[in-house]
Amino acid sequence: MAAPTLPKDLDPYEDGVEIDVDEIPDKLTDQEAEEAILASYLFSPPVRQLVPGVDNGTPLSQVQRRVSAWLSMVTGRHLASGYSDPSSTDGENLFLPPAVAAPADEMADERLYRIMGIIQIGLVELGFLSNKGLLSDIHKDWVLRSTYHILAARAVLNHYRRELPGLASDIEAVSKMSKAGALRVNITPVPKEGLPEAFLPLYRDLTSHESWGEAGFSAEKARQAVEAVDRETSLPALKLLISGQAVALREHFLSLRLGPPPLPWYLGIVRPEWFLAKMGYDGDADEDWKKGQLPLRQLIQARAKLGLGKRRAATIEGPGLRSRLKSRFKKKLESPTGGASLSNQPAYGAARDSAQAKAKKERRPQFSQGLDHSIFTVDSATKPDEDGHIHDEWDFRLRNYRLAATRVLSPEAQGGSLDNYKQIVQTHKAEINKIRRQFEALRIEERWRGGERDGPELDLPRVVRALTDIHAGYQPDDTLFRRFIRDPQDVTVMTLVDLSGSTHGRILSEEQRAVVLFAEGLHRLSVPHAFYGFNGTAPTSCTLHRLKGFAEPYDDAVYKRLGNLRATGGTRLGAHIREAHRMLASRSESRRILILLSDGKPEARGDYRGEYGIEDSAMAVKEGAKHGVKTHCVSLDFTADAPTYLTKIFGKGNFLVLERAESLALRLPELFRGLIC
Amino acid sequence: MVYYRPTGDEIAVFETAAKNKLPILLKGPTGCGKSRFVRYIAEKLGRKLITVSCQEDLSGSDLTGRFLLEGGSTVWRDGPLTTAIREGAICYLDEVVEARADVLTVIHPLTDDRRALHLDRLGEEIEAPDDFMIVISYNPGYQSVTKELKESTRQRFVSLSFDYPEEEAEVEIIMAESGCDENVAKQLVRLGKASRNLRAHGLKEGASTRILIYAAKLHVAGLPLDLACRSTLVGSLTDDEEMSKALDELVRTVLG
Repeated sequence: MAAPTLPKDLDPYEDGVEIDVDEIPDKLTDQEAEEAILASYLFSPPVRQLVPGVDNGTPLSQVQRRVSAWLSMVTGRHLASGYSDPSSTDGENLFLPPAVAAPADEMADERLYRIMGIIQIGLVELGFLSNKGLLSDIHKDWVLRSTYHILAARAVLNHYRRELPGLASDIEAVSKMSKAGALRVNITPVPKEGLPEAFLPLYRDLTSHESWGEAGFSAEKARQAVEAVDRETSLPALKLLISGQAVALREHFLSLRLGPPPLPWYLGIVRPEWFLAKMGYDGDADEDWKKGQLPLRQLIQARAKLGLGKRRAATIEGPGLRSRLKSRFKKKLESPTGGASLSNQPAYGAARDSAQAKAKKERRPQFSQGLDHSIFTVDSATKPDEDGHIHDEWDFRLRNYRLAATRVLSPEAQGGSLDNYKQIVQTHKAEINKIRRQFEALRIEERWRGGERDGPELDLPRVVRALTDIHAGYQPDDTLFRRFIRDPQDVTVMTLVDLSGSTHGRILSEEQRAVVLFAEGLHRLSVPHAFYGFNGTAPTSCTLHRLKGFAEPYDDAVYKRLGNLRATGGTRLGAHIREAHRMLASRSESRRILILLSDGKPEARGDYRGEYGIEDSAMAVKEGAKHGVKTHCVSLDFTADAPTYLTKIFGKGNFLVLERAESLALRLPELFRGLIC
Repeated sequence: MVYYRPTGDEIAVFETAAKNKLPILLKGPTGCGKSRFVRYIAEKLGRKLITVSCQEDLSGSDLTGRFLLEGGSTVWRDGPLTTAIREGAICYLDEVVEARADVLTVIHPLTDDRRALHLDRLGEEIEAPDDFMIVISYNPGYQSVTKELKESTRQRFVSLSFDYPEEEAEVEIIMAESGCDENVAKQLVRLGKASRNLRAHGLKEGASTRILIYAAKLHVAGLPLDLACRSTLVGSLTDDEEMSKALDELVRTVLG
């Protein structure tokens, strides 16, 4: 049977990929069942199980910044953070438990988080999870998976022990922590008492228990495997060795009629399906792994035969997988080049001119005549429409602009209750005071400035110089005074807040908090500033919601808007940036800063996604730079490719990826201070 | 001769630019060896080096010169730039973005084919001799809108980008500069390299080679290595308490 294939454009982490097995017809084929069930397992966000109970140890949030910084430093990898219990990784994100078990001991718990993190990163960094064939094998077989994981984690710890001498004592301390060494198979706890002695050598230096005695003859194979791993220092040799030993141990355990050896909790869990999903999604992977684990398939088929095929695989809302896939395939069939692609339109010459004339008639996109494009000098590039401003859009495929392709409206944002703003201010008094104190120092340039034509005091060195000039027969300089200046900073700043639908929830609430705290800080600073929210999906209905305009004083109406952000739509970032640049370019201040808060790639309806959105946004940033607008981004995109596309859009050093959303409120003012100091 | 360990083609580029009387712009993070390189190359080329540390009160006339009273009369005193031109020296403007805008206006005619400086006080135009060379440096990593070099200025210079040296070279530099043993130098380089990964966490710059040399010098002078590292690396890199703790922990895990 041919292996099932899933659509390439199915985003594995897209919110709301929902599978309803109930929707799958009873007469489902094996392939269809596999597809549906596996999709729910493989193409769904990582499992996040909060540790139940109130008497947890130190929560991760308390130490996360330090742990992430330490992991980045020692491994050189900056993985985005997420929650999972036990710890895990998909190669791009590091998932750690939101809390460890009681008792709370911050120092010991931080050490535990560090070790859990380094094991997961090490498995990826040292290449233990990069072989497709091996991943496919361990995906299907729990015994092999557990055996391989224990041996690979041991190799990772050995490696870092050698690299970082100070880590040996940490690993030893963690291996002695009873909460760290609790055994599990997948997420199921397993008591240490009565563990088969054949397994025991696998836990040497990883965890221990008083009931474990000397391992007998049946443990010989495990002991040999562990010793071989400990002896070997060459990484390529280790990989081969561990694969071989894991398979041999699997055979041995099965011959003893044993199941998978349980894992100490702090070793986490390996999820080969996440890596395989990525590889499969990238294109050329062996598709065999998608067949899934045999018991699961048998279960599905058996339930189907019994008429019980109603296993609920995930939270279900809206249309199911089949209808989604159907509509996607239909769309693809109808538009093989990706819907509104421009690739078959002429890019130059007479053919282009006639196409443009035709397009004008039909109100379809037009193209710029050349590449010498400037948003502020080309009339057609930006002109006020009856409802907003028209901007061009850069189409990287044609290396040309689509003229007048977008319209940006900038209405007043919808307000709400004043209490929201007040409540945030009340809750964060201490933080606001801190920001204000920091901003006080920026508030005005406060110093004696010499070389003035008028002032309360003589600038003595200049007077002496002038006298010398007179003496030498030259016309003296007339700037002989000095004055104490309290000039406002010659700078203006606009903050654009991403209000697209993807921010809905935690990100939006953090943006909300950050906006209020930043506004409270800027309020005291005599720097002209504005706040706008942005979203919009269709090219002609991009919107910059005015939360506070440059000329607007802080009053209840502004507070109501600032305190009630709402998220909807997509992110047609290029258009928003161009409109913000247009507003900033008209300011008289010599330094103009645009700060963007965003949570992901520029994506909106139609073909505004992937490279298209990135390239257009990057071009918009460059256009602004030509006119003295400096654009910076604070990103809450926790995916691993965020630095790559942010570098493309904003340039190296012009963005900041936060490791967690909670830090936005304080990091935003810090970024601003850094920009103008 | 001053110690300098080349990290790329910088010497060849500089020498060729010098032969062709072209100005040089050095870019790179703090403490990566920009100023040391200029000292080295000046010695190698046998030219005098005049260094000006730029700051916001530095004006154009501070560079060109001024009249001073001496007894009952006035005398003209050349500024460092004029002196460098008259003596055919290398004029090195360190951290040029810190200077006032008029400083850059003064040096512009010296960076193109005119290679001349007009002294309006003296009514004199000094033509730069072949040996005169202007070198400026700045650190593009500041990310501040106030500390950027204009594109029009940047395009007047041959640009040389510096970064922290490769591991092996950095070990060699630390050993040569401080006299520490190889093992200590390797540990320090390991620490330095790791701290540079913190840039993803908002730290503007990681530990510079210079600060690693300081740590090595403190250690050679008798301080335990971990204390030397904490006094230099941890203390000087950040005031952020959380990051300090992470760095402190890094020192412990790397040094053991």
